Amino acid sequence: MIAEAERPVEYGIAAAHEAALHPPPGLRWYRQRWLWVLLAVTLVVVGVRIALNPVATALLHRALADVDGYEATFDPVQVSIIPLSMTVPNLVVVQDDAKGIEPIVRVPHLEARLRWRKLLRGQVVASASLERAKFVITFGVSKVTPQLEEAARKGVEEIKKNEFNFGAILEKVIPLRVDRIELKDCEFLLTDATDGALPQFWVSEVQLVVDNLVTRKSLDEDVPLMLTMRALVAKTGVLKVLATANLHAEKPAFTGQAQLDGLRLESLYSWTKAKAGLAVKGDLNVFVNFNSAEGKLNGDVKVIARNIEVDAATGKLTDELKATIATLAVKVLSDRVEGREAIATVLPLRGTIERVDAQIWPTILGVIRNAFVQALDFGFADLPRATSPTKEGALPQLGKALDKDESAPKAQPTGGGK
Amino acid sequence: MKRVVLLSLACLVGCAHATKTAAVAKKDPEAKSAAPKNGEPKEGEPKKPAAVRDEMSTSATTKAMFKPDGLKVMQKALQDKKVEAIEVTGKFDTQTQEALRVFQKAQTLPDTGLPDFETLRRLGLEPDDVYQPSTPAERLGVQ
Repeated sequence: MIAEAERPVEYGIAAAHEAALHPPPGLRWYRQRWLWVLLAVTLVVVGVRIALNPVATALLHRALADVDGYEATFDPVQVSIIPLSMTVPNLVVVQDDAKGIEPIVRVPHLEARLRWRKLLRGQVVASASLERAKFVITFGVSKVTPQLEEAARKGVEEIKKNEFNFGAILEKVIPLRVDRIELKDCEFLLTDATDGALPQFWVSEVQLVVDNLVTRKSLDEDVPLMLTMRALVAKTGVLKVLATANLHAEKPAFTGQAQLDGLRLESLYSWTKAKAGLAVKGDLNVFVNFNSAEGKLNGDVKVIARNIEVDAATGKLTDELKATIATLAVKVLSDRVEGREAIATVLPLRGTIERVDAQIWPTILGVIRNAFVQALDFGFADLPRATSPTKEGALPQLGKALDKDESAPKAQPTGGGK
Repeated sequence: MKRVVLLSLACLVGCAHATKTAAVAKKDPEAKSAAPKNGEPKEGEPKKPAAVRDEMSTSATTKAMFKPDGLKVMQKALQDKKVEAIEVTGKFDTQTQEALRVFQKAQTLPDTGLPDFETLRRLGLEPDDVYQPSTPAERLGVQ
């Protein structure tokens, strides 16, 4: 090639002209064909690259237009070949019949990726990331799409008939591994439009990661689905969730815990005022432990409300009375441990995923035991609660709850299973 | 309205009575219901502060998500990255979570303070170095 390129210099311009017009037999044909192929490939690559963004934008527009009841807008989509990804800037979704209400979804940056290496091996491995997204859920206004509504209705019917098979549903979906879904710095705003005062509730600074969501067990690379989350509830309480699941069994198996730490109840003022006419102060801590396999469910919700003060939010006599009663109840039922003055208990959840039994007696007895016998520890240390081997009546449970030598009120067996 | 007021008064009386009973019960050391509570000092001792705040521990079932040495392996990897001074305790304690958060922030990952797979990979680990291959619910069953 170098010799070829240098030839015009070597022979002069006239010789170069001669060589171009009459190249040696055999070389002329090949040279022209490669040039044309190269030109064609270049044109195709440039054309595809230029067309890729508008085509992807048009396809996404068409796909979102099919979603009934919602209108979506976004800036031109950007597609990248290496790595194979698509970025949707400024996605805004508005509910059709809710004009004047904030968009239900606003995502400044949405990115979806496919892994080339896996794709060349015939596996679809995708990931998605949403940054600084805002979701607005307005009770009484927000609604799900008709397709989702129908799917939910069918699901509920199947659960009632005990025919719900999650593994079988996943088998119907194309073989796919969603390597990772991440939400970064997102927020959710919940508003109750059924109440005239429009009380609002924020879940902000949401960091959420779902790893290894697969539609076939063979694609899971020997680790289960994992969910990790951290968020700020009502700008004060830190929510942390750690959970793992296997969705491929007939009844999904899952284990996890959630913790809400230090939620200041005064940050819920608009709700407590709207719903009860009360202004509540104090902090709330909730610890949830859950475990489920083959349809059986074992869960516990520990609630510790500390330094509670209740006042009437309005000047109404009924609210004043409610506040007085609540204050007295707090005084009676708090554990009088200095610095926390907590009302605490554990609500055991037993049974099956179709029919959860929230056990009231152990919960009430838990409050009494915390107040008069033994203060409940902070955290997960004593979770899950033991389940009594045999079913006990309310009175024997009360006797044990008031006995310091006995353990904390046990959950009652409910049977259940597949 | 009259009924509401009467009912409320009845509740008030009931609550006041209960408060008294509680107070009496507390004074009587013999009564079982007045047994000293966690963190409550004996007579004459100064009152202790509130129960020690648990450091975002894990429940017994969640602990079983991790391999026996999984948390230690992760803590060692965090130590090697020198993000935060961290002790290898084998517990999912606050220092571990804070170190994870600092590391995640530095790597522009969602800073949950909890070990997701990408965080583990960037620490030079594989998810199965830390996590068990199946859920505790499947392995240990549900009572």
